[in-house]
Amino acid sequence: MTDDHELERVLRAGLERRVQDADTDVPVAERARAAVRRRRHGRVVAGAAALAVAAVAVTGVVVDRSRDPGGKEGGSLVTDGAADGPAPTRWRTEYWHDLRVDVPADWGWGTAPAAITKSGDGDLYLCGGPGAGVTADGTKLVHADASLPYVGRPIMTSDLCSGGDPLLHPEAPYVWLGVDLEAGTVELADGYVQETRVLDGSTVTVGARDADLRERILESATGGDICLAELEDRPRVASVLTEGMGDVSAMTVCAYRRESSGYHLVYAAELGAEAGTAFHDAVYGGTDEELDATAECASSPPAGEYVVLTLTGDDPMGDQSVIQDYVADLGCAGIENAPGHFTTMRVADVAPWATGGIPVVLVGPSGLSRPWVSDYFIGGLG
Amino acid sequence: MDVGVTDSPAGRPTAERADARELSFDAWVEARVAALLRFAYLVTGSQHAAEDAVQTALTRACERWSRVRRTADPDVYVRRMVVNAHVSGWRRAGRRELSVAEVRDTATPADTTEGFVNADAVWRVCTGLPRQQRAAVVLRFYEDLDDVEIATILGCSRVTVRSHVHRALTALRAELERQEHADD
Repeated sequence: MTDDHELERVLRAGLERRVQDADTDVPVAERARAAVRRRRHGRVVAGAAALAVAAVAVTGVVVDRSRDPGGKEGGSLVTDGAADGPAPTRWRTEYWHDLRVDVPADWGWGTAPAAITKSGDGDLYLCGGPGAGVTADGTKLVHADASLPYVGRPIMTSDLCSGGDPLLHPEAPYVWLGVDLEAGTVELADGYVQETRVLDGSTVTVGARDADLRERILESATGGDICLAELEDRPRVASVLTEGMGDVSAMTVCAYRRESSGYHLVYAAELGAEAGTAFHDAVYGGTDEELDATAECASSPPAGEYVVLTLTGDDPMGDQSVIQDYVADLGCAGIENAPGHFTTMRVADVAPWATGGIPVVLVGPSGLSRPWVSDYFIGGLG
Repeated sequence: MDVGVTDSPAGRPTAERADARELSFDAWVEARVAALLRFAYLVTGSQHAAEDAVQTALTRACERWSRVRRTADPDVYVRRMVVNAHVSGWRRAGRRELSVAEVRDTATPADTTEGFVNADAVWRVCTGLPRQQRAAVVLRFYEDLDDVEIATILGCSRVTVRSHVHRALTALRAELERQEHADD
């Protein structure tokens, strides 16, 4: 069986034979008309609220949101600045809870000190640092490099923790987000000064020799704007674009971790068309087995980590932009791409957005013992 | 019904097809729904999923008919929605059904054993393909569309369409060869 024409003939014949099984005597047109009547009736009941027509057609997760859709490509700003060493010329924006702060774009990502509950002494310990565990170009390091400037969050990236000396002798400037420190200034070794400010219930801490750099970063801190800072319950996809999406122009990443009261934003980024398109293609590129494998996600208990992924793109049937939300459920290792429908999380679904600081912020899918998990997430601690 | 629309054996509208811009939704859907169901059945691999996908597409098309009928071909619009509904894995609650490579009793007295076995192999291969690939195969070998038309429906490039079709043919060749060896 090597002749292409014969192969195509077999394929055509096979499809023709199979389609004979289709029952075409079903009232789908009537059902469609009835659905339209129900929707129109619902709209009348909804009354004046329906008049508030948005310029952007939105399908969303079941959370309220207030976002600024006119965001920045890649989450970075291009502005002038000052730093330890050469003055940074490019900046990016980092998010934590209801806080956003601009940092030099060539700083990596790492961990920040956290109070370890078991110790009970209230002291802070660094579990995985100091320094960058992911470099600014996205390379995940086996061990954090203390000589690289970084942005840290109080999330354990290792179960080997240390306190005291490493925190007092920094080798590179840093920003810590959400560390349980009081506002004020502390002088450290080698000319480093650590300053902490409190804003909107979160802390921003900067350690640097350069006072101008510290001030520039601290002054940039303000309320977050691209993701909801807190969710009362796990996020879910609320609706789906039945007409699909044309060219994808952007993707917003909002990562949440469960804390004592709901889910809090721990990382956010605005990615461009390339990442969005890659994710879109991956989600819709699986086999039946892959696309239907994780229906149990819908009934699984709440997990510790979720990522809301929002694609913006062209409306295939109009000139407006449309958006579609997806939810990565890291507890059951599934991607929710329509209400209650999950696909198995594969490396192709993750690679487009598990970039930047994600590999040191999220533990990742606990149900997947795949080698690639530790490439894109913290993975199992050890 | 006299709406100027007829079906080819494969379900495609023929040259006799009237300008859809003059059609009502009811007239258009009456002429096209059977073909859409057959198309959806091959794309989804299941009767329930096909009905879900077509109903969803028709609901949307009905709501936006004044706009849809002004497009070059409402069929493209609706088939795109059918494909999208399946490729996205969307199902209406309570109507989920997975497609399986089952052997159905569709043979007619004129069927040859080889034809029956090959048809089964074709379906096994199709159900194992990624959904967009399978849709490309159905559009090419059942609907007889060209690369440009398929790319428009799938929302991808012509290169991607050719790649989908090539991979599907390669998979079918391998399956038929495997089958031949098994028979030896």
